Amino acid sequence: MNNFQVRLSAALVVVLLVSLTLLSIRTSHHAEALVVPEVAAKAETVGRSVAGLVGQALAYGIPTDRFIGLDDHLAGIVAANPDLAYIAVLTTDGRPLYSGGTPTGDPGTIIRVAPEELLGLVIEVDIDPAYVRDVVYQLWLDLAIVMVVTALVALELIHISFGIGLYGAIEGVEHRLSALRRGDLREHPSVSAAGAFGQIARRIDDRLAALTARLRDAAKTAAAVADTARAQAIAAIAERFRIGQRVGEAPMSVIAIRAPLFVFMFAEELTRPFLPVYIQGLAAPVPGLSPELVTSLPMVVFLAIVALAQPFLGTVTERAGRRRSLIMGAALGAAGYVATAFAFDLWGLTIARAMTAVGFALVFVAAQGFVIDTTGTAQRAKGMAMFIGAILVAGLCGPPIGGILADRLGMSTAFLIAGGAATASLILARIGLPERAGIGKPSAMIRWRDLGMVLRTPHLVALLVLCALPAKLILVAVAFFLVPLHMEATGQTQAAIGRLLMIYPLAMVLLVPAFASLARGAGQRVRLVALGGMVAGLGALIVLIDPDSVMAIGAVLLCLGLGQAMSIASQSALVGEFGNDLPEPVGEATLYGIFRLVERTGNALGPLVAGTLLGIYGFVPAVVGIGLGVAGGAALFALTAALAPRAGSTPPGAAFEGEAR
Amino acid sequence: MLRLSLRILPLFAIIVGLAMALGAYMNFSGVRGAHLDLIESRMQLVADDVGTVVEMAVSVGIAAPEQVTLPGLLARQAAADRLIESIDLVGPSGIVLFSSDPARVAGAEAADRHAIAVVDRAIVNDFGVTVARVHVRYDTRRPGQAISGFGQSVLTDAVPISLGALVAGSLAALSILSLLHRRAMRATQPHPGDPLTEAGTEIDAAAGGGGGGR
Repeated sequence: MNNFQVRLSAALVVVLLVSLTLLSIRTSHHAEALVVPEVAAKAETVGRSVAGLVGQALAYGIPTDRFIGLDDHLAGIVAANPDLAYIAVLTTDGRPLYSGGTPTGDPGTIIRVAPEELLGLVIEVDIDPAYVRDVVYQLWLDLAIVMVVTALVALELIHISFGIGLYGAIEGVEHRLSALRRGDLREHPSVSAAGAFGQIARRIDDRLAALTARLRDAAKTAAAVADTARAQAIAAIAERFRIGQRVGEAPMSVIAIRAPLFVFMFAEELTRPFLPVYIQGLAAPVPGLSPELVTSLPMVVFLAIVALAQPFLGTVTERAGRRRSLIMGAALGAAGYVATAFAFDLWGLTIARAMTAVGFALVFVAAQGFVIDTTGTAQRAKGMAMFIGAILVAGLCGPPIGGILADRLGMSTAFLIAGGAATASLILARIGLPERAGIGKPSAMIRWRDLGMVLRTPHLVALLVLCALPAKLILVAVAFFLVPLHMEATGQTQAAIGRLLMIYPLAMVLLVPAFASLARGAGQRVRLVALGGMVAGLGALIVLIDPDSVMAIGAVLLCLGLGQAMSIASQSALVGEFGNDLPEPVGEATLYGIFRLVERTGNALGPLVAGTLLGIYGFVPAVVGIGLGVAGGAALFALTAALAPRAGSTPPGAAFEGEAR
Repeated sequence: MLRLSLRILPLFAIIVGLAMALGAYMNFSGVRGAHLDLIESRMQLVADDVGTVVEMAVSVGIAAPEQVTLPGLLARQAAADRLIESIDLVGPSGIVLFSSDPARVAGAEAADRHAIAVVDRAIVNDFGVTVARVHVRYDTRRPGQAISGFGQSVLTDAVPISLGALVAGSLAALSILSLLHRRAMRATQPHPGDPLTEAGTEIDAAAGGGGGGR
């Protein structure tokens, strides 16, 4: 992300902060007119209820100083009604006999206790003056999320308004200025766009080129007169300012895929916090299966289709064209979300989810293929980083917004909105993607022979089976299945579940680059993969502290994010390194295809394992069991690596070949 | 720059518009939910009060259908709240045993028209068996009208604020672009602190020549 983007999104956040604050203040003013009369009416009803109780006690002949437990009763009413601050039984001269809550000092609602001519007791009920304000201000957490997500969405879509050419020119100028600030005088890839920024970029390039030519002339002259000291001084200047070197080409054409991919992934991520709960609502008993396992079935079907379809879709999208495949996938996805919204039983829902899964797999593979087609080997890593970035940002934005939408509009409507987002992705693909884009190699199919070769390589098997598969299994099982179901059962709102599910992608977005830069050398990568698996797995044990605590569940998700951020880049790089040990060479694309297949098998197994364990043992044993399994796998992998150490080299770009989720 | 700002405007309009619409709706639905919860909890209090009286009588051996003093209590409670249409005590077979509205007594409880909501409270005897139910039926039309009025007020505020946000956002984006443009223009010419000029001077000095960067 460059400074220009950061400034633009910061400006958007500030504008939205001011606007939404203003709107909330205005709303709280209007809300007073609506809510205060109702609170007053309720206070009167509460007063009458208490007066009736006290009157009844008096009618039974109980003296006014012997109303045992009345203080607790009144305190209970105040505690159960956040709109009320204080309830008291008073004498007519205002002396409190019994009370609950804290008096506000403002005149409250007064109800007389019958028979008043005998005892003259009154009930005072004080309304909480902050109640109306609190109703509006309690929304602030959700509004803050709306602001952050808006800024992130703006960042993802900003190049659409500029167009790729102009966006590339602005980014090119920004890169040049940033390099000049650092005293970096390398030459940059040329900017072809016309317009003010394109011209500026070329003028800066002219200056850099002139300086480079001057340095070369000076070096030539020094060499011609055999002045070593002068030549060394000139070489030192060249080295310090990096004159004569070139900055690598940025894969600008990849940007075209970001918006449709982001919007489609956003649609799927919207459903994360409430999908298991929605399925649970439609699930009917299936003989021989626990209700929890039945609930997991539509998710298993979705993820299994994604896992099984992707190895074949590479070739399919290549033949049909990436653009057309992405458009078809988005259309299928949109139809699937709409069908999900109208599903009335488990089977209908499963078919709808299966349709969405085919769409999802098509979009994913077509987008990935587009990146491969439009980047050369040198740009591949940056291109894949852009691709993964779009998925991660969608994972960050989708769940909280999905939770808010499901809470306020209902889950079916939220599915319809997801369908709308998938349709928007289709439109963006039609507008933004070129008809043909292709400089990359054709994608390779996975053959049984390649699979057999991988299975004969112990290090690779250990990495795939003990680390890659469990990593995806725990992610889907815990974060996307068990946590939403459990939080819903403990009375949390969908919005709260969505906020909670932000923790994992947030940790990933912030920490993956840091850990990726630490992962240098095979030994360090093995340590990071093993340690990451243990952090993610053992972090699940935090649930034992208090399974109903949002903080504890949040800590479990944080450990999951931290652990996977540690391991994800190293894991991808190790696949390439361990691939060098194969008895016969297997293509890099095939190797990573097998890696992805294993990961997606873990994804598909996630809800199945979680549903089975949840049905038999309950939430805590299910989370702890999966966590221990993942940590055990990581420990075993570390042991395998320690007992039979090896050294290898990393193919270029491998660190970005894995998937963020 | 003008052309650039015109290109930014549509995207900002969509993004700011969606964010403000979502924000405004959340404000509206938060207050609407609180308002409806208040009414429902008030009706629940009424149902609980009636329920407590009926349960006390049941516990001393007076069966629900025999509590003949109930209509007076139900009528008083119903009259005390402008939203209450009727308070019914409904037997296990769905027949209205007593009601604040005499026309409803002895009839099977019919499905209510759309603008009526019902709060339900079970009457449980000492053995934990539900022997009757209290139904407080209240009008939802009046709260609905009040909520519509409130929604209108939120919308009236949201439109100008959103337009302001749109203008402010576009101006902010334009000023960011202008700043970048100014800085970039500066970088095309030699200026104090310019690394190109510095490097040029150093090259000339090292080469034994004179002059600065172009």
